[in-house]
Amino acid sequence: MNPATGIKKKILRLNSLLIVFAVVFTSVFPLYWAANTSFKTRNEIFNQEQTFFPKTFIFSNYIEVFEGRKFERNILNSVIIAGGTTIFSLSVGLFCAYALARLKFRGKYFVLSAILVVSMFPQISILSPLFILLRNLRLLNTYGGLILPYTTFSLPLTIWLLTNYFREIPFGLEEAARIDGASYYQILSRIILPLAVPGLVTSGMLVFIQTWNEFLFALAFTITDKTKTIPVAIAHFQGQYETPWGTLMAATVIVTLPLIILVLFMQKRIVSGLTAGGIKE
Amino acid sequence: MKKKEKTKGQNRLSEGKLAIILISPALIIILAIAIFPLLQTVSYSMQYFDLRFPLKQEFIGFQNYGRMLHNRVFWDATWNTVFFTVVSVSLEFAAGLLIALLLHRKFIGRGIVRASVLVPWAIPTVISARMWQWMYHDQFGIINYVFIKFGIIKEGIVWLQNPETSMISIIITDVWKTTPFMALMLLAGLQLINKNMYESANIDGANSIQKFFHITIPILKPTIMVALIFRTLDAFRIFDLVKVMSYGRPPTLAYINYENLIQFLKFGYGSAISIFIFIFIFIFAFIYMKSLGKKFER
Amino acid sequence: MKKITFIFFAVMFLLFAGTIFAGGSQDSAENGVVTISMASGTVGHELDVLKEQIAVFESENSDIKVNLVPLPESATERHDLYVTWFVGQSSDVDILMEDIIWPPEFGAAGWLKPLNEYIEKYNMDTTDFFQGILDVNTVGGEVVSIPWFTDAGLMYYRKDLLEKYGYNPPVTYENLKNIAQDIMEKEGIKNGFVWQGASYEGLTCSALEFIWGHGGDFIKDGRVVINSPNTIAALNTMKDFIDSNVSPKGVISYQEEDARHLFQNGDSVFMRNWPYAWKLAQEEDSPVKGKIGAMANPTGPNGESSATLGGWNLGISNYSENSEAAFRFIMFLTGKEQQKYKSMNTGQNPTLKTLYSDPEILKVNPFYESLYDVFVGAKGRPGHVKYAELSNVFYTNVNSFLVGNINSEECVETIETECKTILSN
Repeated sequence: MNPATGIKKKILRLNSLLIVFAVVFTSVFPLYWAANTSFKTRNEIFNQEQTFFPKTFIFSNYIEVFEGRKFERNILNSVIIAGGTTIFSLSVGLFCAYALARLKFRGKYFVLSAILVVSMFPQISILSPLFILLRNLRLLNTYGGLILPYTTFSLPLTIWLLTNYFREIPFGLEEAARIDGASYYQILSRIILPLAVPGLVTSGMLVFIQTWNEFLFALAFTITDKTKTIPVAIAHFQGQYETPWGTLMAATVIVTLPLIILVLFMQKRIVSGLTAGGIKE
Repeated sequence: MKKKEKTKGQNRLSEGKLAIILISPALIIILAIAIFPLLQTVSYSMQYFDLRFPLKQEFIGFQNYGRMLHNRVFWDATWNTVFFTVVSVSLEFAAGLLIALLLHRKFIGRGIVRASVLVPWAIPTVISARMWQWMYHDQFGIINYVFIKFGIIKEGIVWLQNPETSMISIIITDVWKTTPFMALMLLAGLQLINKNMYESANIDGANSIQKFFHITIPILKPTIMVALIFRTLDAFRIFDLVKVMSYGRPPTLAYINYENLIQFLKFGYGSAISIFIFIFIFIFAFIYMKSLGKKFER
Repeated sequence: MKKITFIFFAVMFLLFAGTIFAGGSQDSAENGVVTISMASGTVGHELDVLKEQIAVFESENSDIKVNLVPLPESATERHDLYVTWFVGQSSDVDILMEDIIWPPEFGAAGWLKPLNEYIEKYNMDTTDFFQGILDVNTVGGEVVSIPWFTDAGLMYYRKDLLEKYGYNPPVTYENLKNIAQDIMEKEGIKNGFVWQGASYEGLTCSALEFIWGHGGDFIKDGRVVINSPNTIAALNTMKDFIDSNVSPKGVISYQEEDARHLFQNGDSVFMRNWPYAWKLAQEEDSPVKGKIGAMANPTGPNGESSATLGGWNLGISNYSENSEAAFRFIMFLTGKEQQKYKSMNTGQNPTLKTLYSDPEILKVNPFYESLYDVFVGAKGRPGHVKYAELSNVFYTNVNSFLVGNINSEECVETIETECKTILSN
């Protein structure tokens, strides 16, 4: 190996390092900047001179997030709605996925197509009839009014993931159980379910995050703070005359921090979940 | 009807019937909340249905579509949406591939890098919109501040409102937000590649570039396809950023759809736009389904 | 194990089935006490004053409780919200704060409760309201909203600087430009004239003042008349301010607050804005406290000084289940006493003529007297059911012109063609 290759390797390594740094920096900077802003006073924020760390460190923005708005209620709403959607979606999707993965029946392709079509849906396309449907069912401004559509649109993802997990489970186990005389219910609860737990956890998390994030339906179907979720509250965040950037950034940090922590702890699961099913074989 | 014979008689249900029971909740929900309303939208799109004139509702065939296809704003929005989709997805793909290649090798701190790469994805879109909106601020935004300090520009650019820069601004934020997803999908694909192939290539004297184009890319192809189609469908529907960050600039299809429905109360005309978006996406979805169809043969 | 799993799922299912209807509207009548909900902005001065007014009202009317529903600040967002509530036939909100341009639209759609019967029943005196405003709030002979506070576009200026350099307040835009340039140079101030040029409803308000001031118009008697030399001249004047650097390039993204920030920080000589800016600029921490003046808008050739009529009005949703209680609260808020209180504490303009000569109010807002004619003569935007659509075409194209994407002829031609299409459909 001649010295040129050695230098080349060093340059390559340096390049890689720079790229790594650039990637990490770009990913994290906006969040850091939001946090930075959230601890500043109004004068420091609306200033021609920008600072990368607050000159005067204040917490009042965080307190103001909850003054004059019902932000705690918005957070609660998001938790209930995302949680409810997750549980519904998993329950319904679980049964459906089992059937798709383990049972033989006609019309499988039809069901799969229907599910796939829904995953490709532009939600805007059904906004008006869905709105009127929910109105007629008196579900506007209720939790159910959001949980129902959210469940519908998270089913494809759930079914997709769970079907793949179920297919992993060896048929042999089921065969053996059936020979022993186990009912379908017993097979499901004693064999399949425990083995599918990782899949359930992953799907659950993805559904939760997706629902937590949703904006369009939440904007259209919630009326008062009784059901308004976080994205809508953030979109409507206002001060009397101006956008209160300090307080808004504080709200941003409040909402994002738990998510980041969740994601950090579960990254392995999330990665495997996101990539499962799409790239098999 | 395929029925599996039961050897022991504890279950009286046939597989087919059980399947129906298990699937029906999901199917009912999907039919009721997604399919049925879609048919309703088609119906609205063929009517004169304007909430400002509630008494004038009537069937008018394809007139809404005709008007739509002759409308300048509609074509602007279509062009913007296509442009946005193509550029955004290309950039995400390039950046995602780069990151995937990076994370593919083991190095110290890989966990931290992977974790930080996930951050943009974890943040709700509306919140990203606000964070970036603040950074793009023409007077107090950090982007203008840094550019001016480095002498790149003399005075602050009005990133989000100036038609010349609003598209780029939205694209950048979108790419920032969705590259993690792309990177992860590509990373998983990379991890399927057998290292031995590289070994043999090395023995044959192939250099990095050759290895990349002749081994990596071909094996990655299915993954790339899936990732691209997925992201294209999503990009085409872009709404949140345009609504929250730039208040409708540049107008995209989903945005003018929302505008016509809620701002102008033109439910009939707005529904025509909705169906147009749906058809466009459906064609793409069809291609996707076809390419994956073989996977479900069992 | 089997039983436990089953119970678990059943409980989960029931729990979440139970949440389906939760979060919905509550019964609004308990023990004869009715709760009405009012949609309003809910932060800062406006909120404080409203809360105080509610307290007084509730103490005088023990059978009614008032609940506030927060609204986003942007008028467009409010409009969208109202639409979803109306189409959703929601009874969750009884009283709605409406921008002056919405009653014709909402009234035509049948979403507002006609109020004539209540006006008669409670003997409400409507003669003191500005007739022009009341007319806008009347659809098909029925009053659908009551004027709450009004707005008209004003020209603010740095009185201290104009005096320092011996200038009288300008009467023409040409004049304004020269004064601004001179003072900008001599005082080293960054901006000469700031206004609202972003692509939104506020641009329609600003631009119409320029256009009327040059003798042009947008829509008159239901016909599109925008394509005229006067209108083109007005647009060119607007663009000229930007091209000559008297107005910053960023003005194409400014809404009310952006302009006010600059002016209040002392970074602009002139500002076009609504009356609310006065009080804020006169507060303790304002760098320009005591240094500003407000006057009627200047004109171009061929025109007359014009101000766009703004303002907010209170209407009742046709889906409200407590319209009578709601009306009593509206009557209270729009009465002389409460309008005076509001005016003195928020600086917002009353809609009752006699209050403009009230000495106590004038002490706080001296320009009410000098600008009375401006308020009375403020011109309304085209009161058409399709106004939102028409305005959208107007402001997107005018903004495009200001940015430099199209020239003034193309701008008015496009607006003319598209608006004519909209009106003929």
